[in-house]
Amino acid sequence: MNTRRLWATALLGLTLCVSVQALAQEDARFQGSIYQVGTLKPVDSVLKVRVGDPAPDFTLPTIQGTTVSLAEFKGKKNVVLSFVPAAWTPVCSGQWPGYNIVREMFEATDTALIGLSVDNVPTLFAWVKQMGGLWFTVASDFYPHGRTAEAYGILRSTGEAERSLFLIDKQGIIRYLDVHDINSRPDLGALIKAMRSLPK
Amino acid sequence: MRIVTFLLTLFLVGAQSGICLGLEASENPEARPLAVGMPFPSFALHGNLTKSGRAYLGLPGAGPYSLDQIKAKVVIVEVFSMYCPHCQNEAPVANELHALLKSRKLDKNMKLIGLGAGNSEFEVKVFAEKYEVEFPLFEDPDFVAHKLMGQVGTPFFYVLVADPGHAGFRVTDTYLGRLPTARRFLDRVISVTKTGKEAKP
Repeated sequence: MNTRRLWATALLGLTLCVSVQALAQEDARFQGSIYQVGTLKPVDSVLKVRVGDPAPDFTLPTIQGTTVSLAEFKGKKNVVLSFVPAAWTPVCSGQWPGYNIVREMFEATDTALIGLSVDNVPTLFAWVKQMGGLWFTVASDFYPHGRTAEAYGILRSTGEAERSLFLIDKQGIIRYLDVHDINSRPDLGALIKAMRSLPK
Repeated sequence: MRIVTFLLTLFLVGAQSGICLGLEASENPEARPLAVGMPFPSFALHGNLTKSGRAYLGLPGAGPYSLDQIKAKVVIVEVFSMYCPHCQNEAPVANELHALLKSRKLDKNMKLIGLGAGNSEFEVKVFAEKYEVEFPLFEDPDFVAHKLMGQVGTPFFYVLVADPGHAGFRVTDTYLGRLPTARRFLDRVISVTKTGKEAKP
């Protein structure tokens, strides 16, 4: 191999490495980007709905660039609302990726899943992208701030939503709810069991 | 051909030096991994093992079990979570590692188990079924074992070697993040545990 070819090869190799490095650095930028919140008051709101109540309706923007309303599912699908307190925080970042691998369980029970937080759309978009994407709708309850969370009685005094799950049947009635300790993740098993108990 | 080799070498050198590839793990700022050489805590292992899973580890019929009951010279413990995307992506490689142990006839004395940090029995079952995991997985819903293991990020691998007389296991190697490949990791495990003589590739 002559000198010119060797240099050309080296340059190409370096370009390849730098390109991969750029991609890796983009990924690496997310490392350590989860904000540590420490231990918080487990629940900091007063629930306004109970099992058996009609679920308050909402229309919210989604990270898919559309809007989603609870009413659009009435008579068609059961709905799970998964409120998380805030993007880029430890427990929340480790909750929705778990739901990401049980899509079949939602489909088998004719249940739609909507993830919600009070963060704005761009923040939720970036956070979900960092997770590697999600199959379900993610909606922003940002403005008016936490209006939907407030309607359910799960808006904390500091402005975040409680970590909570609501299962709403096709008639729009709440059939299961779990306003969970904000510091820990609810067991998926209890939610799936409740979903399976509803008529298809 | 030489060009390809050269490019590949350059790329791998960059990757090895940590420049080119980012760490793929759910990190925990509270993590304090157990150091190499330390005894590994013998906590209760809770899991709904199949008959073949129990036979693989040499465990009696009913759990909970303890790590010390596992009949092996080397145990590789993968700390994972069903909720961790890196662990989800890692699952096929861990399966490959398990298959490799078997195909290289190392599985008699070198076992692979998984421990689902913060995962309930249901959540561990979801993970096992989703990724068709054939090696035994245990649950740790309240992070009891996870705390004893130093609250490591996930996936995290502890390579343990049995003390003489099977008095317990000792940490021999640790690895945070997704494995480069099952083969390379196994070579590393063989190297640090000096079990290569048993390998029959």
